Amino acid sequence: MIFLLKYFLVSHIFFGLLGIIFFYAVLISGIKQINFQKIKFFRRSALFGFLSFVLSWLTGGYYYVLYYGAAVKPTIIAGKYPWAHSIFMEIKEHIFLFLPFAALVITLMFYLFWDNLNQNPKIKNSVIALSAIVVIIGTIIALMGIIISGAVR
Amino acid sequence: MEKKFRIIHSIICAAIAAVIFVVVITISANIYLPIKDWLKNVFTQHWIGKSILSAAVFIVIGIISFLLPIRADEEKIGRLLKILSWLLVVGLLAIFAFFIYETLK
Repeated sequence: MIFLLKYFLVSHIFFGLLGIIFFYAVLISGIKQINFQKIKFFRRSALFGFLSFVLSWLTGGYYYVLYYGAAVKPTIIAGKYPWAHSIFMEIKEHIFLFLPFAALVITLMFYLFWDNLNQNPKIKNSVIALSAIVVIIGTIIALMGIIISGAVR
Repeated sequence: MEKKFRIIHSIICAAIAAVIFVVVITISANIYLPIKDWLKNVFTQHWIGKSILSAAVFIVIGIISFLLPIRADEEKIGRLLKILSWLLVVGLLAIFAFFIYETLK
């Protein structure tokens, strides 16, 4: 693997995990009780989480298209654990596409709807629930990445 | 205030459409291979095609729902957020079930 592709793979993992961490911060702070003085924290965490997922999408896509399909996939398919690709990689690459859209909705809710979140606990709880789903999907994707990496060895 | 409500309303509608599109194109392209071939021919790789088209669906539906004369209020936005959350869960389970079935059949 050339240096640039290694860099993209590491960046994909790094930004993906960073996105999960940012939305986990939003989730935990929201569950405790939203401190409405912490407007900057919620806005920045969600924005950085969204940007991290976009960067993970771009770097992961670059690696997947240029290297995974040609070099890694055949090795997994011919190995002991072909289901690592046919189940986990297929699921991972497609459910990932949910994350940037859901993350953008949460980010814009904090930027444009802050006053309403403050006054309407139902909408606040819906945003927190959406953050929880983003964290859960992100974690599932990360765990699948570990399974896929293990199947190559 | 009204404009802010409409922006949020249209963004959530766009996200709902994008999630539905991802699930439909993922399953249909694996069942009906000409769709996968078309994605490969047009976008060089099927996943790139799905990525670009899902972003395009998000943008187009976002613009259309913003331009439509729909009254957006807190109640509607709350309802749409719940629909988006449920769709993410259902979409996740549908993709899981589909690829497990495809592998085991």
